[in-house]
Amino acid sequence: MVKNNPSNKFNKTFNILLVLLCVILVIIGKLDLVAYRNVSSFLTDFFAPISSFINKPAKELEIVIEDVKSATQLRKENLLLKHEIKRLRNVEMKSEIQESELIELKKVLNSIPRDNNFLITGRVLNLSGGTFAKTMLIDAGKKDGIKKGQPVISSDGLVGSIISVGPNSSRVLLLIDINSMVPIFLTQTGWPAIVQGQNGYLLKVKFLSSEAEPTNNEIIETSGHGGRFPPGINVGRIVKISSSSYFVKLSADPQRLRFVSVISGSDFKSSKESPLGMAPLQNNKKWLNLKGFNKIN
Amino acid sequence: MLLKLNLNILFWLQANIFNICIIFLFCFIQMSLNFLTIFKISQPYLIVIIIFLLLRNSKKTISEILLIFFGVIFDILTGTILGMHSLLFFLIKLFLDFFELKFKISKKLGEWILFSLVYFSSLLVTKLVFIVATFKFPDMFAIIFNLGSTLLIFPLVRFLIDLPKLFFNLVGK
Repeated sequence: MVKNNPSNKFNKTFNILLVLLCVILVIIGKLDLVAYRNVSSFLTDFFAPISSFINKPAKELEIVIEDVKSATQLRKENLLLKHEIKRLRNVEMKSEIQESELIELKKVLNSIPRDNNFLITGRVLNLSGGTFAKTMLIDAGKKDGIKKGQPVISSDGLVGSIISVGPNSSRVLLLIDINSMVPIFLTQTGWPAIVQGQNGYLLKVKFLSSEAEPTNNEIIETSGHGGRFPPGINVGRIVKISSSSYFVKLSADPQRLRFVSVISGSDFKSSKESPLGMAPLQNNKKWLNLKGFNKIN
Repeated sequence: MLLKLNLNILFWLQANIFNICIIFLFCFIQMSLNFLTIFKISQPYLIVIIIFLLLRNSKKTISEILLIFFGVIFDILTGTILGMHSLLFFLIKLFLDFFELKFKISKKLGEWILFSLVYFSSLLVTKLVFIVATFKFPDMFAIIFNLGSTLLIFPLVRFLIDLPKLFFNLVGK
């Protein structure tokens, strides 16, 4: 009796149509249409103040939790800090010496300084997590000079890159998002690789040479390959080494960030210059000194 | 005819205003959970719990179109691929009807088991669509954490919602 019910049949067709509608929405989302992008940035801009207002209690709660945590560990923390100050004084002395050496070496190599970038700092309005996307909304947009693709950093290191820009707000694709990929190099062993987000809290190291043997806690930095990110920005540390796959823990924890800076001013690739820290491009060797042949190359 | 249509929309809005406001508010509350470091790995889907409870307890039935609309809004606000949360919210309703009518689970085993089944099925289908759309496998640990924390938080939310009712019952006696 239930099978032949016409309203049941209608319901089934209606549900199938709605599932199709959702699939069409996914396809539209993947197509990244200009109209959708504009509507999205307008709505994000419009709801940003509400979102910021509703986020305030959670932010305050987090500060209280942090305060309680640190209050219980004050003595231990004090000892650790004293130890850290001693260590940092040594590091500071060493780095001053190394800095002066580096300036001299740069002069010798005739290296071109690349300080034509400037920072635009914005407050974090909201963090959107879940298992589908990891993004962050900041209160600086087109009016402040932000453009799509620009890298975002904090005092701890790289945070992500701008994926959409509204007039007053911008959305940052965090490094932990599954769509995020950054070229890096291992600072101790020097091997280049790519880190990819997994929508979790660790990044996966990909395309690493089979000869490379990263050490635990090894610092990784951006390599500057591809020109999307400037070289030498701290990304994180290798924390988990299984048999064949390596993971990276971020230096800049997105949940603790209140302010971030967008690197603006120029792109990080140039046909003439090579990024700092990377070997200069080699000119093609002219093996044959025959007229016409070298022109083809 | 236009006037009739406008009136219909107005009546519909009047009837659904409570549900709309609640879902809308919880969209933002869901986003604010990301600031809490206890949910560093992943966050529980508070919005899914609220939709589930509204679908079961609200006097006015929440339409599928409304759920899809809120999914789109949530996707835009969070920067997720468009349609992901629409599909998730719609599947919550679809699986809720399916499990409740066909198997009458809530009567036999209780609301928590029903929610577990509905949420697990909906998340599984949505994740499969996500993998097909992105061609990438997300972190399994984060998904399991999300699933576990959502299922654990469900009785707590249920209790908090029932708390005023329990309090007034006690005071009334």
